[in-house]
Amino acid sequence: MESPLEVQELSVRYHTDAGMNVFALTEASLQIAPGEILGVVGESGSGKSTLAMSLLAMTPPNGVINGAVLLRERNLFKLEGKELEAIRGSSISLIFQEPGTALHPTMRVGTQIEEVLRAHSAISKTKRQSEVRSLLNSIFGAVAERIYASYPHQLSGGQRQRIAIAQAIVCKPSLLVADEPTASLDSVTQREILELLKRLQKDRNLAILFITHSLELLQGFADRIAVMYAGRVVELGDARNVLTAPQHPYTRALMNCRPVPNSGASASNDSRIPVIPGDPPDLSLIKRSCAFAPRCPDRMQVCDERVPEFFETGSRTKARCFKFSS
Amino acid sequence: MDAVLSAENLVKEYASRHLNSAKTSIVAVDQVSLAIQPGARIAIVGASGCGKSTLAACLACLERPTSGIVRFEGRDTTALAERELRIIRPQIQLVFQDPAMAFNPFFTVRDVLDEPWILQKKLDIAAREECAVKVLAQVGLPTNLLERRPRDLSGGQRQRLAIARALALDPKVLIFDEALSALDYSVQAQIANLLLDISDRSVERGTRPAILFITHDLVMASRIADELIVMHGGRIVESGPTQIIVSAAAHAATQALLAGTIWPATISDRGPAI
Repeated sequence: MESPLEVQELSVRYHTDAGMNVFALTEASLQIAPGEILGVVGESGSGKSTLAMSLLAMTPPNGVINGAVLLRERNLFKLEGKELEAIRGSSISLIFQEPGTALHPTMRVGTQIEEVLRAHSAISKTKRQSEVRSLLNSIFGAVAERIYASYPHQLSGGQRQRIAIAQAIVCKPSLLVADEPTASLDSVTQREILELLKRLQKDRNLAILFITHSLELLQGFADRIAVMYAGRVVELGDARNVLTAPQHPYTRALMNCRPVPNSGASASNDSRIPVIPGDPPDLSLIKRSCAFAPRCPDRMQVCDERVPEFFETGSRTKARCFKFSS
Repeated sequence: MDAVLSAENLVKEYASRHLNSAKTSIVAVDQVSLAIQPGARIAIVGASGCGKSTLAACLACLERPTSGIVRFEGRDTTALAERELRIIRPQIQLVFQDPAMAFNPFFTVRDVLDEPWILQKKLDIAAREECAVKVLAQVGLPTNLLERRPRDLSGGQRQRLAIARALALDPKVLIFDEALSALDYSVQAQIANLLLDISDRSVERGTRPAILFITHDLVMASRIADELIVMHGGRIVESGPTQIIVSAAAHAATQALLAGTIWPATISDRGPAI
């Protein structure tokens, strides 16, 4: 089966009013296999949302794009408006962090889901409604009928996100891009959303590009993980390997920032949480060195001389770090 | 030592009315009692809608409870007039989730910090300058930010500024309502350490602020607080020393919050701390 999407050496820079360039995404290459969940982890400014938007050719007007996003061997950035519209929502769809703002406030949610079908297919209204009902049934079970007739404000955050997901998958896309869909939800609701996405992956062979700033969320969920820092993918590999044996110094440092629950024998929890020293780099400057070097505990001379390429770090894992160059 | 802030059988109901339906009431906080000792580190943990933010608003005297008592230094605040509450409120400071919305966008960092000193303490320019330098140092912000506006700051810097502003009036109680949730993990760790510095144990209990950390992140709560209070459906369902609750969670709501947040044992080799 063909890959639903391939990102080739994609770079996006934003041209600001002040005449500067912000290099949001640099030479990102990714492949998403059918029915695969790829977790993309990064902090603010790492380029993960720019990557998400690029997958639907939705970069803002001030974005300058190099490279390609290939869907069935066609570069999305080369397509015309009409062709793109046909792809967005039907082949590739998108959900965001804040489902409340993605929904129309004065339209019943059932009708909003139906609208997507109307835009992408020619089936009758009755057929559309029954399709939306059966989809809501599979997501909400017994309360589906009540949800169908509800307005967004009558639903909880978790329910709204499920509606956004229903909207995104009603046309049976092969890829769902999820940009921090659980960031505004509490940990219990978060897991319910993840379970729903996992179910969709299995039942529909849906590929998911799941963007998050939380590595631990991907545990038991993602098949592969890409870690981003300062606009580049710095580590890419099997989820299990990345989570249990992170190789890139940034991934290791990021994991260390996340405290383990304090259930230990020590009576005092005064010990400080490990932090990453320093600040993320200024993305308006072109780097000819490793962007993480100034904060890296394993910094070497070569790190300041050129940008590290990918080196194999184990079976099906690689990292942009000179530590693995030999 | 007497509690600095306490609640007894606190109830907060909100009336709600849907179109074409009868008026109903939602009990956001239901019979909650708790006591915060001076200098304590307490966390209230719960899923969305459990009533933790409403409880915080009642404790901070921003909302009047439907029934029950909130005591600040022994005084029943629910019986006080608005004028008297204005004297108490500055001593209980809040820091919220989104620091970008907490500031007037046209204020500089200096304006943000100056306002409470002008309104509450009537400090002159020289005294304010001195206080600003001190409080910025306390939260780890450079003084060259004083003339900047909130939008020029990073998310972490903005949250540090919110904490500096909360510290400006030497409060007895600091309430952090999901103050870390919107931040990156590396920044969360920095701010969490700042909270631990603020409630430094080497400082005498009576002179350091008590910290009430409200969150759905039980892991982070367990690192910051000595005592955990778990809320579910408006009620306290479990409370006690952090270690006991984390290692032997009794209530299903606590177990649900804990599940999925723990790294697997295989990750125990987490490399050297950096």
